[in-house]
Amino acid sequence: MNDNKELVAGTPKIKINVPVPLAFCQGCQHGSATRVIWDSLEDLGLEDRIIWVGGVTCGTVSAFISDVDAIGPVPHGRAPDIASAMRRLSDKETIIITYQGDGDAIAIGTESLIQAAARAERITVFMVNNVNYGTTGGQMAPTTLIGQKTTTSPTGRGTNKEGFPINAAELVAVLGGTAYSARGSLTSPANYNKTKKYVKKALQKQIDDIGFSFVEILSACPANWGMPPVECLKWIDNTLTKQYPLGEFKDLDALV
Amino acid sequence: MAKGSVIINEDFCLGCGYCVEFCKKKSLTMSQDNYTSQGLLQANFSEPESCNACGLCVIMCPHFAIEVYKVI
Repeated sequence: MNDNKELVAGTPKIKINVPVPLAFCQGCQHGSATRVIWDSLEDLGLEDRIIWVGGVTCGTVSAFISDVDAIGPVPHGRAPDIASAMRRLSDKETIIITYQGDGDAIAIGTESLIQAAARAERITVFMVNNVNYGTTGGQMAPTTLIGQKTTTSPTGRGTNKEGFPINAAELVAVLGGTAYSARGSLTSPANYNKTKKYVKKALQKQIDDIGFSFVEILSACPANWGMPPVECLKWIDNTLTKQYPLGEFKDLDALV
Repeated sequence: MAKGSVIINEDFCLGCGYCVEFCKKKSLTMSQDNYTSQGLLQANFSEPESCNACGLCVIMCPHFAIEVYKVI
């Protein structure tokens, strides 16, 4: 770096400088989802107070290239349970978050997620939704859209046998213990900043000891969707957001 | 006089093109003959003169490959 240059934006300070590329596919937005959380942690000054619980998802690798205290991958779908246990054993200064995929949080881990929300655990769950099981090769997930082709629904998801997609953010929002529920995407710088606002708000609910907070992040998976990366972003904006509308679904200052 | 300077890490870039798509000043383009260490076509900082160091490419890059500097 020369003297006449000033860093405007770059890699978050939390990230460890590893000499090898990240284990993500071309255009995979797990990196962006991680960045949005890291940026929020840096803005709120929580780097030293955080415990990061990584669920079973492609993005769990990001727990180990950062300076935060992390555990993972934990048993499949059980990240909210492990975070709940940590919450009971730790002081209120500690911030506990989980980073999960849609197959982890809303397929095998639905019970864990819903019960943690109903118990009003003071944890924050981040669910990265890429509408398929990306880690294992693009099988159909509960979040897969009706008519969407995956390796296990080659003619498109039908409603007769495979059923209907689950909207996790709305589902969690109806539970009494939930203080905050929102859904964001990362398809443009504007959406990135909105999602960052949601993430910060969700963390603030935990800092203020109000209740369970949940943020769903729509993410592109070009390798399994079979589309070029830039088209994936347009597909999220035009098609995916019809099933999964963006915005805040619950924002409480105190649980009743 | 260029206002900004973009440094792309060739080891991390996977050529997804998100930075090129959202570069308002068209400073970044996809290279036609320059490959990353993964064997994929990479993004190039081809027109430094138009860059205004807005940093949008940094937040769109999912692979932590870009750093933006303001030229003082």
